[in-house]
Amino acid sequence: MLIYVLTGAIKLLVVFVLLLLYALFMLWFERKALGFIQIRIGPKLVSSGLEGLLQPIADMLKTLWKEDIVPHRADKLVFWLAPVIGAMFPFAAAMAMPFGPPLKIGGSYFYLSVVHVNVGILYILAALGLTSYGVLSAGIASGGNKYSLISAQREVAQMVSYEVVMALALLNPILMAQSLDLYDIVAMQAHHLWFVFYQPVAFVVFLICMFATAAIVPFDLPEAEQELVAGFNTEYSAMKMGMFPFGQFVTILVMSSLMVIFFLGGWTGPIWNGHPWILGFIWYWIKVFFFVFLFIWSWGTFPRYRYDQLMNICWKILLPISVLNILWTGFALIIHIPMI
Amino acid sequence: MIGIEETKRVRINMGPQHPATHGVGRFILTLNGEIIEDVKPICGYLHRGLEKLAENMTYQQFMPIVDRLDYVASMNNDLAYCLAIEKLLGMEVPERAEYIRILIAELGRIASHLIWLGTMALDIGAMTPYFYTFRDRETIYDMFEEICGARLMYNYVRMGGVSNDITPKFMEMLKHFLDTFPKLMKESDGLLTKNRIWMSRTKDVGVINYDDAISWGLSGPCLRGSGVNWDLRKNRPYGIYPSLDFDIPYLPEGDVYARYLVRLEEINQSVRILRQCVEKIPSGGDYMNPESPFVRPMKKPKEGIALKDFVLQIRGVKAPAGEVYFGAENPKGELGFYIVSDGAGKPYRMKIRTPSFVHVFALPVIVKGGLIADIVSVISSLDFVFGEVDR
Amino acid sequence: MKNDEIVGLLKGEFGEAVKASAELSGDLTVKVDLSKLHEILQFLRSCPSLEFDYLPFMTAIDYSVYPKPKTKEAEAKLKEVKTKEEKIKEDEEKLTEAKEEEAESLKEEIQKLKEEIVKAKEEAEKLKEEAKEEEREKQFDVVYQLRSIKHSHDIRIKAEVGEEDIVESATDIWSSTGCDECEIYDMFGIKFKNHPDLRRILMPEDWVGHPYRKDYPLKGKEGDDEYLDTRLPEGQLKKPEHTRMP
Repeated sequence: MLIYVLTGAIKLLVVFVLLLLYALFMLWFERKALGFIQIRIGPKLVSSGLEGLLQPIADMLKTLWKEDIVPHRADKLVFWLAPVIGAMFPFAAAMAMPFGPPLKIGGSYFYLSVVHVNVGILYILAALGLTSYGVLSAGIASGGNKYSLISAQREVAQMVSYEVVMALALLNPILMAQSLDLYDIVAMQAHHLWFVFYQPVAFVVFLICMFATAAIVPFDLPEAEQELVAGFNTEYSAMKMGMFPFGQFVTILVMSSLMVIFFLGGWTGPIWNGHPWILGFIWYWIKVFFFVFLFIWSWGTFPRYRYDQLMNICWKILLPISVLNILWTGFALIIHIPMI
Repeated sequence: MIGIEETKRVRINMGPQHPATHGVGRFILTLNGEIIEDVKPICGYLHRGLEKLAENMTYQQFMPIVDRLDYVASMNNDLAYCLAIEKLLGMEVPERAEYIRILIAELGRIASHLIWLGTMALDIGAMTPYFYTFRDRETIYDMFEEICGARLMYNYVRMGGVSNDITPKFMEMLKHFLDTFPKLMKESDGLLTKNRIWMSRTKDVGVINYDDAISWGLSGPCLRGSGVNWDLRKNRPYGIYPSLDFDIPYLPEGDVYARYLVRLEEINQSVRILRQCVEKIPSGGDYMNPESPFVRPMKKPKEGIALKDFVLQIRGVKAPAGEVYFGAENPKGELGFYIVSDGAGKPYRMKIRTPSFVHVFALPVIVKGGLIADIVSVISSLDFVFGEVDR
Repeated sequence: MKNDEIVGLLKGEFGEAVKASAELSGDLTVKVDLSKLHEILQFLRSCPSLEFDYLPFMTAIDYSVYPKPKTKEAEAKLKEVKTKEEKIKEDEEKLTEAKEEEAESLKEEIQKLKEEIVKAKEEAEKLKEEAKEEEREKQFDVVYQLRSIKHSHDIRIKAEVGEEDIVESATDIWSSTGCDECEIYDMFGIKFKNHPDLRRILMPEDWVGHPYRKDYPLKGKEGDDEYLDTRLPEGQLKKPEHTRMP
């Protein structure tokens, strides 16, 4: 019993620190990659030998020292709680996320995630769904700022619509693997082709939903800077404001890993599959970081959709398509079309 | 009993400090959900009373202030003002100066359109074209720096010519620019023009039809975006524009996308004009009319030079009594100067007709019924500068 | 259409309401009567051979200090006459005391002066009549610059407006006059009727005075700084003493 608690605590600590480091690194990576796309240099002066790698630390120190302004009319408790919710739930979702292939020690497996539950995907989706409460409460608590309010309204609408479609898209691989366990889903793909080849439609739908739930550029309506000043961020300052991008970066990571696990075979690679363990680990993170980069790439490329267009895409295109897709998947499973 | 309350309209104050109002614009929006029901533009935050100032200054003293109207296309403002004064005084301009004027006016047009393109893309959410366009604008500003030393407020065009001759280095830079710019322009063009998201954000958004566009007094690319084939360079030709070969792009749709395409094509046409000017420009000759009354007498007589200079500075050049209106095709639209002279060295009354002022007040008609996101794209497609609106 | 044709058409339609027309560097300016102004504008917009569908701008001019050279000349002439009359009086006084030789030359001089006075008076009266053109009943002019995009011709319509007069708004003809009329109302204090939203657009709404009038001081009125003090947001510093109006 004690050993379970101890390993759990150590895992939690390690993952937490890793996620924090990742978020800081992302801050740097985002600016560098965007700088590359936009013919700029990006951060350079802090730790000049390391191409400004320590810039996020300097930034964080700066935000910590900034004055924390709370609007007079704000709902103080909710205002304070909102960034915590916004940052906490992505972290919570990441607790069930695999950080690599399971290690085989002796006869038993050592899972590289804080908790290994056989309904991992349900837990992750639930935790990610709750993230939007951060934005919602930030918008409502901002003391009647209308920009924040509209932003919160947009975020909720966006989340509600895209959660549905995302769950429907993920249902296809789940049906095929007949398991809600992330490790099982990967194991299924190790013996067959990756699910992306069976489920190209679900793959595309999930790709779109990924950007929508993470609120990255073609779908970054809640913080549409040119329309809503800064959306729900408008009244926030100092570290409270810094919490939201933290949560967003972790969401991006979780979504990318979900994408890789469900459609791109997790830690299985096209060659040298599974052995040795470290190769699987490397395959996994290459794929995950490709998708993380994809987020930034789209950030630097696309304009933003309009609110009604966003809803149209979701309810008029993606939803019917994914429902039909599920019907087809179920039908194919019933008549036992063999998997390659 | 719980009664259902009447739906309330949300009123949002957009500006004067807002990332998408291009300066100190302020609009009071009445929203029904996200749909705009009414827009009330409020201006005056940058009001400097330029028309009143002009009445108390000599013609040449007002010159630098003209730069402050549309501060992203100062060269074109200078040109329009000088042409108006030249029309009032009936002055001649040497041929080389005419070519130099066209060169810098078209460069100014490209620079202004580049800023518009970058900010419009930024307003619609695409961050990257902003940096591409600013890189190209930078080379244009370097060229302006080479010919007159200033980068933003030039004061380069003068009544009767230009303040100094262009240098061989400028011509080299210009040729290099003309070679490289069309290729560089394709980068942002490729990112936007055929982009599905871009098209869905701009097509059928902010539509104003042919008759409304004329009635609301739109001018420049906004008028041409509604299908009106009207360009003062062709219809009221000035300078040496009649001898140059260029087309006026116009599209009948009248939406944001049409205005966007018209402006992009205008950049191409400006490049075409520049190429012709580089070929045709006379290699020598005056860059300033030596008989211009605004020129300080260079041949030194024995006496009286100090006095003449003094009179020119204090009393100005006496213009014949009468009134004159001259409108020039600026990047934003028609910039016109209506000057009433009473025969003194100062204008009795000067009205500055600026395109942006009219555009701001046409905004409510164009944007009504759209969403909040639409007002942003419409504002950027109308492309107004508040230095011009408030004057 | 050529300029004289346009003027001919207008004069044929409205007769005496079209007062005067002038051309300067190709710009056609027509002066019309205020009472018929709106009708004339409507005619200009709707007449198929004119069709002025575009209004580049509209403005007003304050003519209160416009120089009147001929009136000045006439006044100068009258002054000359006065000085000469005084000289005659002096001479006549001298005449009573003078000797015979001097008296004759003085008499000749007086005769000359009297002739000159008659001439000068005639000239002065002529000038006065000419100067009547310069005289204005009303302080302002409202100016409409019109353009036909279809036929590509321009015209400028002017009408004299006093401070008391209310001009009929042209927003029903050209929508773009809306903002210009607001500006005129703001800057000159000329009122418009039937305007959908007549408000001060550049100055604050409770501002006193109309800045583009000629009697408004260039550097602002005396009370302006105190007015601005009352408008400052809470906690903002007031304008320092040395930058205030004396």
